[in-house]
Amino acid sequence: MAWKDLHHLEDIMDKNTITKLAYLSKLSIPDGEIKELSKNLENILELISEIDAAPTDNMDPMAHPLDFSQPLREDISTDNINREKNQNDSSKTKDGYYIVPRILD
Amino acid sequence: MTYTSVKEILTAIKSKDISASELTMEYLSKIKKSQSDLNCFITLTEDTAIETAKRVDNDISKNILKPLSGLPIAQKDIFCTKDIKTSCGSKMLDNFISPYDATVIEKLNNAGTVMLGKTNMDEFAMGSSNETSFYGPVKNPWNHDYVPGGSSGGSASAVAARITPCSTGTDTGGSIRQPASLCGICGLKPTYGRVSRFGMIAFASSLDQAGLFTTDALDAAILLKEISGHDKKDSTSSEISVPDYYNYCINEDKKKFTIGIPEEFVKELNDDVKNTFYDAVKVLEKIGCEIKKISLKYTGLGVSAYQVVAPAECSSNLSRFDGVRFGHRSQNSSNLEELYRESRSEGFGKEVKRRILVGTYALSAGYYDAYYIKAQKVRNLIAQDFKNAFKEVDLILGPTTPDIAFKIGEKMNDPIAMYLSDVYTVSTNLAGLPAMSIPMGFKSKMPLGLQIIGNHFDEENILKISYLFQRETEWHTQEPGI
Amino acid sequence: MWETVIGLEIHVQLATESKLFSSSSTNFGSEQNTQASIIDLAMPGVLPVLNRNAVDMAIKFGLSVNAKISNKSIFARKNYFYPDLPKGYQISQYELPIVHDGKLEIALDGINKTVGITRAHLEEDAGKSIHDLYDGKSAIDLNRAGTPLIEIVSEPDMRSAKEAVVYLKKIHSIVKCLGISDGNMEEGSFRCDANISLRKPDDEYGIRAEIKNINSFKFVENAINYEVGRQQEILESGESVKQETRLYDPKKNETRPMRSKEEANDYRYFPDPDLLPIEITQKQIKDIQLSLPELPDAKKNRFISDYLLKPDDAEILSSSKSLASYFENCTEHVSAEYQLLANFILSEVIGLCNKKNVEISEAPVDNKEIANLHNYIIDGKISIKQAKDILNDAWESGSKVDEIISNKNIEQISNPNLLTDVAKKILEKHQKEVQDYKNGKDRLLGFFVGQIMKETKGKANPKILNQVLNKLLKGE
Repeated sequence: MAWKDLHHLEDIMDKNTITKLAYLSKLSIPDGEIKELSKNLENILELISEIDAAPTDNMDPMAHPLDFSQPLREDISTDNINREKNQNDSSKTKDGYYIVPRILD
Repeated sequence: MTYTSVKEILTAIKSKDISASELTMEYLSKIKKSQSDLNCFITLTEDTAIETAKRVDNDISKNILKPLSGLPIAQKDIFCTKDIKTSCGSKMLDNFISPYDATVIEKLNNAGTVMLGKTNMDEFAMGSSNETSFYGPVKNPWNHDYVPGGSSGGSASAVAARITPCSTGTDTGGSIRQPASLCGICGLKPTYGRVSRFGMIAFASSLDQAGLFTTDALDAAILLKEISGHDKKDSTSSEISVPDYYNYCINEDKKKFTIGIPEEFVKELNDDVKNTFYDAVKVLEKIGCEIKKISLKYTGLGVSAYQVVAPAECSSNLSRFDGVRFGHRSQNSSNLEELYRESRSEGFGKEVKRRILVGTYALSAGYYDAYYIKAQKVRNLIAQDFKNAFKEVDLILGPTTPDIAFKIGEKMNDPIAMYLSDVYTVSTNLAGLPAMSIPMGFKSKMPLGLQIIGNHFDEENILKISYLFQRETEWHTQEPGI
Repeated sequence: MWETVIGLEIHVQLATESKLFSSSSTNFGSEQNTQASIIDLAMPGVLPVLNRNAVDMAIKFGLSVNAKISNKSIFARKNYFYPDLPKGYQISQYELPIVHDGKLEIALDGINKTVGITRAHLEEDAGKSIHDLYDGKSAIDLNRAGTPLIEIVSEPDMRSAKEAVVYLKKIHSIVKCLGISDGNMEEGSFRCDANISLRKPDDEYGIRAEIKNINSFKFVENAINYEVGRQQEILESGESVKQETRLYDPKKNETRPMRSKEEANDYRYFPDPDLLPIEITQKQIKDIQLSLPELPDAKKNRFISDYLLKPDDAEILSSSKSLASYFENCTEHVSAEYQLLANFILSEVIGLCNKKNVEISEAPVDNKEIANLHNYIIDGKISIKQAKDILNDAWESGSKVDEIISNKNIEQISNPNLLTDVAKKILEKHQKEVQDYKNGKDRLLGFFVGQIMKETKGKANPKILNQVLNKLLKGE
């Protein structure tokens, strides 16, 4: 479904959609900012909608600019892991663990 | 300051006309003097620089010479530097001390450079004006009321202001070339895969590429050799061998270039920019280039396609910034959901949040085909355009930006206008091609840039043509009156 | 009335040295976060590089279940937030998995069935969260984050808990036989999720519930049975089953909904731009095919045809690499009655192994000794019961079988004349019982045997003795 097909619906980037997107991406948008954000996002979607008309029927999606295949690494464990250096932010760790509020279930 | 180029500095250090320590001290002093005006730097690595310079001088006294011994350089704060703050221009990483060096950093360190500091940038490389940085905007040294461009604004401004002889940057949609154009210097974005992305904080993985700012093309040639090459830590890095760019440039063989000018790149230019551009074209004709009119039919869709692909990839790349293992963690959280939400909302700025939301939308169920897949197909269309063009021409030419720098604050409330300033640069990222911006003139005393786009892995010819152009012109020698 | 429909998703941890996308060690049980590199921790700027051995192992698995191996295969990001998932996405496969369209033959109660295997794909494992260490907090250990897994997805072809367990055990024996996993369910290297629904036969598939992370074969059976009962109750009361993810609680033997599995999570799968497509050539596949060991099914069939074993025994012997090789090593010194040999190994040798809590590969009695015992039984030199005793002795003392037999003078009395003499003597002593036997109390035969055994100190060859007794009792 192209953006243009949805265009007849007003306020595509309404509070509902923004709330759902914010939930998925773990962001909070204060109520006072929703209106401006909604307008910005709709403008961006309008800009993007220009791709709808492009003649891509016979085109494959291009995930990478260059046509290589994945290189493979030999199965040897080599890392010299310096836990202390990796955990140089000690406010987040205890006894080598990363600590977060209790996860439910 | 008698040395204006990388080449001169390397020669002077080699012949011991100046010591690395002396040179480093001079640049550090210039940086400190300019910081309140230009705000080019987030972190000044003064102690490390002095220490490194000392070591270089010690080596030189024993006649141990590396390719870039003693060369001062500024590093965009998107490259991880071991034991040194790496902020990516964001509050999210304001407290982040990287435990490792990016490959680019490692290569430049091993080549003998002296890191002066980490430069200011748009937050997470998202922006075209260096106004989204947590550390405040960077000023254009030609006029402090104007933006230097972005996202590599700090790196560009610093080289333009001659407070560093060279710097690194990154380019995802134009973030090296556009600031180079607005600041009147050379900015090179190599082919995707030419330079390792390991340690370069990811924005849009299939578009990001590390590159360079210098005052002239030969300097860029010298540096490109040192940062290029296969890195087995980066699956997307190329194994194609690295040529000697510098010698290729100065080689006196009379190669005849055919240069294409896409009508789509010139039809909407304002008169000033158009005239400056065609003056530059005349120079190229004078030195023997054949100029051809070509068409890149679908480049007009570049910004739209880019505004799907880049946010989509970044929305995923930025998920690791969750306050759990490093970076900003909110004090206002009593459960896990709040920890994520508040840490990220406090840590990220408006533009970053916007792009994450757009990207999440483009990938979400029901929209993935219409947005992400469609945009990747358009990307293919654009790549085909270039492929066909390069059958007829060696290089492609156009202005880097539609106009000179804009005023600070002018486009901050108009994201679309901001995105459109990348109209000539984004399609090269989508196609993974190399391109460079070099100074071509002025309008209202502000610089304008000429963009040269090459075929995959043809940085040699881009550099050569730029070098030949710079032999005939003096735009690249102009410095802002500081 | 209700038909049970079961599909299984099995996560198998691959026994590689290093992780799927980083070169950290995959050793189990190390101190927290000492095997989590900057790549595993998802530090800014890090990138994944694919482990060659993991790809080979996935191909091995695919070939062993007659699946197709994709010539081009893509990694995709599965995006969601969880503390044991450092990148905020898991690198997995969505479209174009490395293995697809396979099948597995299973047998239950003598009936054969084919279970389809929709796909098997590579993905990285998450870390671990530990909830009881610190008050009100969860502790995250990322040692396991990035370990390679293959996720094996079956078609919803199973119709009972028992079938599901047979399928599960077979996959388990295959991955162990191939050497691609240690299959340790307790340590978490072999985990099973079950998708269960009910329907009226010939109806469309019903709504399914997913039961996650069951870590023993017994629990799988119990969990499925409980869930079937639960769903049946719901459906019969006219309600509908809720599509949800549930956890099995082995202590209470029930399933309950998982709280943290968020409502309708949109994973926003897209091809991972940091990784390129995996290209696998026909030659690579051929080379791996040639390197495959004999799989349990092929071995089972060979045991049946070469050694004339009963299918059930062949199944058991072939299901474990070490057990199969123990059996076969014995056969090298044996020339007949392989079924008897199998019986002896399966009951006596395995019995001792279990009792002494020792693996078959570590049994202190070697194959040649077992073969000797077997050969002596066939020759009538000793009885099976005697063999059992000798085995016990050899196990404990370390002495050789021949030594024990000669020292204890155990040899069986198989001479019919000798046995007839002894039998006659016993029957003489128990004339009343003989009369009772002739009047129909057949069970007294056992009594006579017992008495003769006592008299001969257990050395009477039971087979010959039976013949002698029968002759005597009929005759007299």
